[in-house]
This record gives sequence, structure tokens and C-alpha cells, in this order.
Amino acid sequence: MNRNFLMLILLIFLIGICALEQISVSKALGTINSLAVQIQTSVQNSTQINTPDVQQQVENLNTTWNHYENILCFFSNHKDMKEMGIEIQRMIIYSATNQHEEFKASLCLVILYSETFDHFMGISFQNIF
Amino acid sequence: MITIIIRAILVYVLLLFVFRLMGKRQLAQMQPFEFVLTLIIADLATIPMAEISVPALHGIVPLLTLVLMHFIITILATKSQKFSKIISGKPIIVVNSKGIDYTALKTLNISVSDLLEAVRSSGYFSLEEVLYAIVETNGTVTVMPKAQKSPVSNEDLKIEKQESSLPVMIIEDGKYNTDNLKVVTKTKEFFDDILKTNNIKKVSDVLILTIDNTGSIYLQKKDAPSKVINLNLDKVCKYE
Repeated sequence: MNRNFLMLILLIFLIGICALEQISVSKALGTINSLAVQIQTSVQNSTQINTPDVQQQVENLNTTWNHYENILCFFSNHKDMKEMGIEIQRMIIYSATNQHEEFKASLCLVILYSETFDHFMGISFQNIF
Repeated sequence: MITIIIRAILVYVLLLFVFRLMGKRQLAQMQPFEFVLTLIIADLATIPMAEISVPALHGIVPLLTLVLMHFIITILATKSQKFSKIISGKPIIVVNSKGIDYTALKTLNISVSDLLEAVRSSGYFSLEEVLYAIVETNGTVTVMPKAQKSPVSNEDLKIEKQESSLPVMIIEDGKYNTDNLKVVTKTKEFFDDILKTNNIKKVSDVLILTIDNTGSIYLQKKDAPSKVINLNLDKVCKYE
């Protein structure tokens, strides 16, 4: 096979991988952020977080994150992403035991992670230097 | 553990592919940019093998990126002399007809001992024998000896010799080389007849059979001495 052709394939592959990563990261973090903000809105002025509605939303957040984590593991270090999963698991427990202060703290962390993980995932100029 | 095994195999295959892509230059004398590349590649290859939490792509993508960079730099170096000079430098004469060029040595940061060592590696043990010594861009030293000290050739002795030709391997380790059969004017049946004439029943018994342009055959059975058969043919090989 002609070397020039192989190099072209290589270039297309590299561009494709970068594009795929950026799309996956944007979609994952965007979705998690919107779900987390939705939960935040619904529990804002409430001290009852063990309602079926809140628990369902948290479960949905967990399922969604697990789904995206499986995809993001192809592009990012597992260790870098584990914090998100840990906080979501904490939210599940806090919701079940109605620890609303701790729940809201974890929720804030989840929102923070969803807003800042793109500093080391996907295309990030901060990460170059 | 199985993840590490699979990643190690994957990286090994990828490295084979990478070095094939970069061409034979990597395996011979390297230019500075090629040397840098080889150093980095070795390190990058270990990333996905050593750490399971790191995605395999974190090793594969930089490797492939460097291959692409190497390809682009090689193309640019071929197309532009200026670029080639920037990337690889230029050969520098360190010994000339007047002796050692001290300024050139200083520029290259080479000591006289280093120079003598390189000259000895080229087969010349005294600077008396050397007319020119050149430090090439890949760091090797090539030597042009003085006329009186250079090896004697057939031309010097006025000996006429017939040009030899490049032998083509027809059978290797018991199998016909089908690519090389296309390079000669003789068919597989011709070589089967040669084997029969030499009491060789099967081609799998043959270790090596080569033929050159004049029909001189080098034949060796496995676990047997070699023999040379001169058929005195003309233009057996199709290469020029």
C-alpha cells in the first residue's frame, strides 16, 4: 500500500479520534450538568430529599453517568473520572437517609466536576502547557 | 493480567507497524530527528502497558502522531535543502590536506581523542593515511584515504575481471520464493529438474538455492555441504 495513502488514513484517523473525543466529552459533561442542575432546582428550598421523585432523578443521573463513563474511559484516565462516580454514589446514600446538607454539597461537587472536567478531557488549551 | 497481556501484544504489533512505516532508515544510521523519535517511541510504548487505568489510546495516538510528524519532516527534508540543513545539519570536514581542522572540531564539540577513535573505526590507525575525514549529519565519520594508502583495486593492478552479478534466492528453507521466481527467466520446473539431477527428491529438503545472471547456482541441502553448479547461461535475471 502506498505510504502517502497510509499517512492520509493516519491523519484522518487522528482527526477523527480528536473529534470523537470532543463530542463524547461535551455530550457527557453537558448531560450530567443539566441533570444535576435539574436536581438542584427541584431540591433548592426543600429539606426532604428522600422523596421518590428526587431518588428517581438521582438514579437517572447515576445510570447516565455510568453509561458515559464507559465511553469516556476510552479517552481519559479512569482515575481522573472516579470522583464524579463517587459523589453520585454519595448522593444516592444521602438521598436514602435524607441527609439534605450533605446531599446538596455532593450535588454542588457533581456540578463543579461537570463544569471543570473538560479542562483535562477533550480539547483544552489549559492542558497543553 | 489479561488486559496487560492484550495491551502488550497490541503495542508490540503497533511498534512493528510504526517502524515499518518509518522505513529502513530507523534501523540503520539515524539523523538527529529520527534519534529523538526513537527515544520517545520507546517511552510512549510503555504507557499503556504499565498502567491499566490509562486508556490504550494514550499510547497509540501519540505514537501515530509522531509517525505522521516523521513522515512530514522527511518529505520536507527531501523537498527543501534549507529545511534539511536546519533539521539535520550538514557534513563537516574535520581533517583536510593540511591536517585536523581545529575550528571544525570545536564547532562539533568533538575532542581529538573522539576523532581518532572514529578514524580507527573506519580502519585507519594513523592520521598519516587520511586525506579527508568528514563528520556526517548522523554523527558517523567517513574517511577518504590518501592515494598511496588506499586499498589496491583490480584497476590499479590492471587485472581484467568479468562483472559479477547479484544472486537471486529461489529456494529458502524448503520453500520456493515466488516473488523471486518472477525476477528470473527460468521456471519452477527448471529448478525442479536441477533438484532431480542432484538427487534431491523434495524442495523441502533444500536449505538454499540461489542463481545469478550467468546461471551459476549455489545449492545446499539441509544438513549437507553446499555445491556450486555452473550452467553458463546468459541473462538469467531480469533485473538491470
